[in-house]
Amino acid sequence: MNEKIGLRAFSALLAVMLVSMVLMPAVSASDSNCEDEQRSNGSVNEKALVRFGDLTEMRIADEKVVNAKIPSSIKNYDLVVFDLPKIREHLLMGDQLTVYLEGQPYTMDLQETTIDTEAIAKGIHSFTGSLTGVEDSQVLLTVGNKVLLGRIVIDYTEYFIESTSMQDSKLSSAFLQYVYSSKDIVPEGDTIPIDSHPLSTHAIDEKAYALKKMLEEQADPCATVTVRVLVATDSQWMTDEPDWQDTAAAIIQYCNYDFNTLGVSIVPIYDTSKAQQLSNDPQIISSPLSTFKNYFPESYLNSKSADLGLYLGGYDSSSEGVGSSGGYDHSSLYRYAWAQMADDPSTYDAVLKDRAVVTMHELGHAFDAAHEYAPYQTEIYNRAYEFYEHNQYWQTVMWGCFMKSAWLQFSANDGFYGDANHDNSRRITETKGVVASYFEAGNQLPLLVGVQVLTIVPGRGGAGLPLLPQNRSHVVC
Amino acid sequence: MIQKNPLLPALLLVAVVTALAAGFAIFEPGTEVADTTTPQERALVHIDSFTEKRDASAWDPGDLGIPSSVRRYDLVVYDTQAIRERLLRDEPLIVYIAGQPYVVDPQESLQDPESRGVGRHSFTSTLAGGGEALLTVSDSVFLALFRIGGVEYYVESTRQHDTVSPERVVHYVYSSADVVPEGPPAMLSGCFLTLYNISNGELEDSGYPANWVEVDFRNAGYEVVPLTDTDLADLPTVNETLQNGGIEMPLSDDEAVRIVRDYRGKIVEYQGSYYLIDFIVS
Repeated sequence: MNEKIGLRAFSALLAVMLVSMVLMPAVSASDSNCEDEQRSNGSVNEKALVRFGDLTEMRIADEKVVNAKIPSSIKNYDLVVFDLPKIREHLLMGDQLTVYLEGQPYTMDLQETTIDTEAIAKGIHSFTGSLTGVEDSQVLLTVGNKVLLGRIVIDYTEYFIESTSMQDSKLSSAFLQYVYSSKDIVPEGDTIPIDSHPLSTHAIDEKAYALKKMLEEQADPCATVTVRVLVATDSQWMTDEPDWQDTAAAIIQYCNYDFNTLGVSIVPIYDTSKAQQLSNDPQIISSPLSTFKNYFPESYLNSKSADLGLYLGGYDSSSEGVGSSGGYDHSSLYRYAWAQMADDPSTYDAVLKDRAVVTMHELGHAFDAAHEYAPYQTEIYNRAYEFYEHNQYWQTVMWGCFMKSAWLQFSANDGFYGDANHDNSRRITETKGVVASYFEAGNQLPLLVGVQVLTIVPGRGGAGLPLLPQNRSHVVC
Repeated sequence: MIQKNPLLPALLLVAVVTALAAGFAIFEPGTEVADTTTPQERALVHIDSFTEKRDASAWDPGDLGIPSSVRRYDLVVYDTQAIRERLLRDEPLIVYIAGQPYVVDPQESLQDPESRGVGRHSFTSTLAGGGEALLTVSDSVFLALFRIGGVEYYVESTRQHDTVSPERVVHYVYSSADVVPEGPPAMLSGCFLTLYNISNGELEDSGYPANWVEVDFRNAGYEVVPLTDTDLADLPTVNETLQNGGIEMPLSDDEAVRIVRDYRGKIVEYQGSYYLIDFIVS
């Protein structure tokens, strides 16, 4: 394992050495029989924490560039490049592939998951299984054209294979990847609890998680996606505020002001066709989100070409909170959000700013943006942020408690609205392509909806993007 | 600016006086207002020729829907159609905010074609000298947020029609410095249980057939896990909901983490029925 400090000291020298010595021998290897370990790493003395014998090459890359892609709480990792075509070929042919974990060889017993035919048609294959002869072990691999994502569990230790989303400088067809284990994570910051389970718990089931991650990898963070949001309300708000549509339009504009900086264009589709039905339902006050979904099922959203459904509710809900969302990982409510438009006994008032904060907060959940404390969230960089400015504290919009000092902005790794560990913006740029595909994937089984092929057209719907605050962009392209 | 003070004794008299005073500056729809205001008379958010200040003491803030946490505000009437026309012409607009002039250089947001189709337009702008503005203007309503330094200025509609120019809507303007939060903080971090009985057809709309049994789910690629009474001892809200029903019941963080770890995305079998157990977040 290379520690970051070690990388800093030796990166320049080793990079020069590796250019001439490492690449070709390993790339030309074609046998899945991984006995000849020397071939995989050439002159590199160390072996990667997780490797597939001679189908793996270690890399030493520019630390600054790579560090930006890897959460700083991962204290140790190895940079690798995989021979993806060969790994995929072996997996598809049912060959037994050997994986080395901390130098120990294990044979993987894998089966392909064939339920997502559209992903398979794009060359993305997923496999699940275990390590032969190892009780309670688990293996999940998803391999596409540019990346291999994986999670291997053995003896309560998890080994992860992730992508940096950076092109490898030597093999332009593959991405530079990093591998690490759960032992290498040291939570940072006072908002992340030191807890044994949550950080090693993926937020959804393993197959769906890997497939979503794969599609997130495919999404271009610099592309602008259009997310069509069906905006519905009830008779109560329409009666209380005849100009509710002015307010709704302003709320959407406020949301777009920051979403646009992340390459997301929220396009509203206003719908009052079921306003009376919503108001007549006795559950609308106690369970607004579930009730909303009952009247606006996925089939209805699809019929309106909507990716998400947003209910701007005119009632002071009896449930705790002034908004809710299924969230990106929910099994059946991931396309739904609710924000209360009525006044609340709490600090939340029925004014435009407060309404926009809560609406943006709930839409943020649909893109997997998380609070400052989120024990059930895997992406540890994905947290809200509090900053000090003009002699007071301000909170980014995903803060888990409504504050009058909430800022209509997502946390970002810009040193002002956040840092590498408080970067909701990064998560939104990762998930935006999946969210924008919900309507097109609407006829699939629920858990597959998030993993359909994305149609991300740069510039689509992006006309009229506002100037950024302080000319700041959250997306580094 | 006034200090909020509901129901002044001489309400009626003041209203009459106000109406008479304002009568000198009545503007017709679509025409610019003669700008006779002095700096002292300007509202907190003032646009020359398009703004008339109203006497806030003539109104009960409760009737105007102004939250009691907004301790100071101005009541104004805007010539919204003229403002919209100016903004759509792409011409800079000078807005006085807390007495200081700022140039709004509008850029229209084109992402809401439905609203634009009915004359409701939204604009963004940076403010020369620092700051930014978000504006939405329709036939009769002008909504705005100006952010300058650490202070935000808001323009909101009261939805009440002006007594002087009844075709216009009275607006209130205030700053974030005028807000004193009231009540306990609103929670935006709760978890709430969602428990659907697939076998009862509760998720047919979402693509889960009610008649599916374990083999069907497995063939479709789902993992099916049993839920036992022993498991339920660690899942009090799930247990309560299974026994007595309920929707969106609050969950503890511990129970939410258990659901993520053991049940999210899986089909849960309990006493011969199949469930989807998950939670939403606020």
